[in-house]
Amino acid sequence: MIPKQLKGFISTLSNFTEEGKIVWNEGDNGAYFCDHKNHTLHIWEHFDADRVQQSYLFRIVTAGKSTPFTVTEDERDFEIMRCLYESVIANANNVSEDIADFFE
Amino acid sequence: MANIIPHVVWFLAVLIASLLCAWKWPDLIKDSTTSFSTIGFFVTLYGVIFAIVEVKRAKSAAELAEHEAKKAHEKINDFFNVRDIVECQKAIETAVSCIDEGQRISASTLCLIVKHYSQIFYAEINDANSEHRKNQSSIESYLFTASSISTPSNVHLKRALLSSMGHLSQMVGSKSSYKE
Repeated sequence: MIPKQLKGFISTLSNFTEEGKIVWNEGDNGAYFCDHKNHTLHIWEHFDADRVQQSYLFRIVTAGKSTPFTVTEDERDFEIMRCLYESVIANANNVSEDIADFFE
Repeated sequence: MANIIPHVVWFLAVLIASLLCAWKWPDLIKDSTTSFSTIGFFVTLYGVIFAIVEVKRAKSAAELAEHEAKKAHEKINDFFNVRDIVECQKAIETAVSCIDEGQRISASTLCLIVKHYSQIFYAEINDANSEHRKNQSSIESYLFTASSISTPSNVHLKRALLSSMGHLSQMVGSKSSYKE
C-alpha cells in the first residue's frame, strides 16, 4: 500500500516521469532508479512464486534515510504502481525518441 | 646575522633622519634640554620601528608554521584516502570475479564498496548528474533486488563496478603523482 503521506508524491512523480522532467536509469533484476537532487528513488517489480503474487517495491533514499513500501497485486494502489513502473521503463529506455521516426 | 640587518638598516635610517633634522632645524639642538628631548624622540622612534619589525617577523613565522602543519595534515589525509581506495578496489575485484565465476556476490562486499566509494567521492556523489552517483545508485539498486532472486542478473552492476574502478584508479594516480 502506498503510504498516505506519499500518495500525492507518487501521483506527481508519475506525471513528471511521463513528461520526461526527470530521468530514470535501468538497474539489474527489473529495477530502475532515479537520481534527483539529494534523493534517489528505486522501483522494481517482484514475483513471489510461492504465493503466485506480483508486487511493486518502491524506495526513497534521502541523505542516508531510506523509506521503502510495497504494493501487492491484491491492493487498490497496484494499478497506480503498475502505471508508474511502465512509464519509468519508457522513460529509462527513452522510447519516445526511439520511435519518433517510426511512421516517417 | 641576517636577523639584525633590518634593525641596522632602520637604525641608520633613523640616525640619518635625526642628523638631517638637526641640520635643517638647528633649534632642535640649541641647548642640552632641547637636545635631550630630540634624541629621546628619535630613540623612541627607533624603538617603535624595532618592535614593528619583530612583530612582523613573528607573524610570518607563525604563518609558515601553519602552512607546514596544513601540508602535513593533507599528507596524512592522503595516506588514509589511499588506504580506503585500495580497500575499495580489492572489494570491487572480489565482486567482479564473483560475477565472472557465476557466484553470488556477498552483500557485505557490496556494502563495503558503497561505503568507501561514497566517502572517497563525497562531493561528486552529491551531484545528481554525475557518473559517480549513477554508479552508487546502480550498486544499491542491485543490493535491494538481488536478495529476493535466486539467480540475479548483474549486467548493470558489472558496468557500475568497472566504472567505479576507473574512478578509483584515477584518484590513486592523482594522489601518487609528485606534489611539492
